[in-house]
Amino acid sequence: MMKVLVVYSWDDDISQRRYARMKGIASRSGYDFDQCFAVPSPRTPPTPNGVTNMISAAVDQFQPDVLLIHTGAAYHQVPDAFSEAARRIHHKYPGLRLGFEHRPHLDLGNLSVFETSEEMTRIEQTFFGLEL
Amino acid sequence: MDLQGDLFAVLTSAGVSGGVTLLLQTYFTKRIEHRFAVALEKHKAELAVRIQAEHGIITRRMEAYPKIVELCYRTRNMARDLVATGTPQAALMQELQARSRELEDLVFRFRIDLEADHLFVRVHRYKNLIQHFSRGVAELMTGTSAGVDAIDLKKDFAEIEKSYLEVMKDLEGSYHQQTSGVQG
Repeated sequence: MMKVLVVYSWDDDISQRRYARMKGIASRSGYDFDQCFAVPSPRTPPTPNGVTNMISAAVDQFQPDVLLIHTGAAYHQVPDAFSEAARRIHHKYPGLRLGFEHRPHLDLGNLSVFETSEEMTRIEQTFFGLEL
Repeated sequence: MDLQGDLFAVLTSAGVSGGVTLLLQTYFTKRIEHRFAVALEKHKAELAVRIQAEHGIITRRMEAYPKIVELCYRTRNMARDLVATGTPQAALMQELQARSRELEDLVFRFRIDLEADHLFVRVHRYKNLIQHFSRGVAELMTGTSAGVDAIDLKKDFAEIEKSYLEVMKDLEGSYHQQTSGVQG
């Protein structure tokens, strides 16, 4: 089963509810899901070092095949911190496939470290895109 | 003669020193006045810039907050209707998703103002609750859910309602505080 790690903004009561729901969705789609967070709390501004360290710790523990970045509140606060963190993670774990939550006018799409295959699009839609 | 000479010398000396004192006094007074005038003008200019900036910030918030309030109100009502009808309606669901995206856009766009008023975390949480709810409805409608047990929309809505009341209280409080500041 493909292991997918999703990087959300920070841990709160909603992230725990979302975890339970996403675990079920992932399992039915044939993925093993886990989540981690970019910053410890909303009061901590994201930095390249901070985000890289938070993701690295989760990657070392869960050892995913795919890493997806949720482009939510923490990303919007400091997009450059995430771009730099993505570059560092790609350099540190060359075998790790990277994807992200697509939104209009996102700079992340310009980074070559993200995979743009059809399979990655399907994985991204599974975790970010369930809409009618 | 000597007395007359001495008197003349004293008067001349007093006149000269008085004149010099007067000149110096005038010079220093003018110089101090000039320095104060420059400092006052500088302070006035800084104050004008600050007032203009603060006015801009308040105006922006007075435009943004009512929009956020409206979207919270509409999304709360849509969620309530989706729970009440029992059978999810596609049109209503799509409307809820569109409005929640709109709300998300506003929350991110006006984050700096919401943060400054200590409202960001609360409004952001409400937005997440709405998105969590709409995702649950979407799962039920598309049949991607493991079962109804996995998704408790009534429980999700109860959280939305609770969060909504908190958000409304905070946003309205902040809005009225700022509008009264402008009027005052």
